[in-house]
Amino acid sequence: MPMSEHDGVRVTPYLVAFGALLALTVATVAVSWLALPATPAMLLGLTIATVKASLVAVAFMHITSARATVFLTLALTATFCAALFGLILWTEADHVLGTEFTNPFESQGGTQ
Amino acid sequence: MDLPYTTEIRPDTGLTSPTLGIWLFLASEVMLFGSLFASYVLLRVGASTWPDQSSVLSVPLATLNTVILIASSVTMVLAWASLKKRSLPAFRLYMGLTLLAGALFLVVKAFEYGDKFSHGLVPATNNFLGLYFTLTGLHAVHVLAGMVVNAYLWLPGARMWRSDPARFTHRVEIAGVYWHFVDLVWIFIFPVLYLL
Repeated sequence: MPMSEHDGVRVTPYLVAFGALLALTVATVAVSWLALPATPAMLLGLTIATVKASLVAVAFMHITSARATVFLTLALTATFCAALFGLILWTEADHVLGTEFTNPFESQGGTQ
Repeated sequence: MDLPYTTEIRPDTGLTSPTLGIWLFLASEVMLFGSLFASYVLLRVGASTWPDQSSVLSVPLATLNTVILIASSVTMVLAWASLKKRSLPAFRLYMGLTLLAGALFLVVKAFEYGDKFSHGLVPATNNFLGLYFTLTGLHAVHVLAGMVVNAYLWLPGARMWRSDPARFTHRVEIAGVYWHFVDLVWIFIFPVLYLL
């Protein structure tokens, strides 16, 4: 693309994004001071991190002006990443739900 | 031989080749860091006890590093914007600041590692520290790699500005996408390892 089409780059949005990222960083640290239970603290912390990451992607990486090829690549990556985390949480589901291993042979009176 | 589609859009992908290349590379990077984050989830969820992370690690130093890395993303994008405004001196200033911020990040990280080692806290101490050193160490290597590319563009690579300004500007944009990704990874490392 000829450079003249981009000559009017505005820096204000970058500075606004910078301010928002700093404010969200303070919010991230503040959440850790609230001493919330583990699950809400984790959800809140990761939500703020996701908002910050989206800000970086939109404001600095110009993701909104990306073409379909980029979105397809990212969608495929996100699918594999979700599968990776999903399978791990599924594997560990017993620990998450607090269920315990029981000996399947106990009810048959056997000693295994 | 001239490489095709360095600044022109490829009709089939709708992107320049460097743009497609960097996004494919970043997709592989997402899976690399994703697998380490997944390992963290697996080990933490499966552990009967887990250390209080914020008392083991230094939250003030990590917060400082977060601010440094966010600021470096701003200076990086301002370096690219300077080239769009056809100002090489402004580019040199902002790229220099980006390099400085990257170096500061690594210095702070080195202090943090030194403090851990002096207290006998090493990757073999427990699973949490193993993950901490692996994730932050890999991230630091990425910061270093970005600095090498940025340093090249700052000094010898800037010669291209005279012969082919559009291509040089595009190179800086691609390097910027990588640098912002490194910032983005830290945005997740910070709460996951230091605060939660």
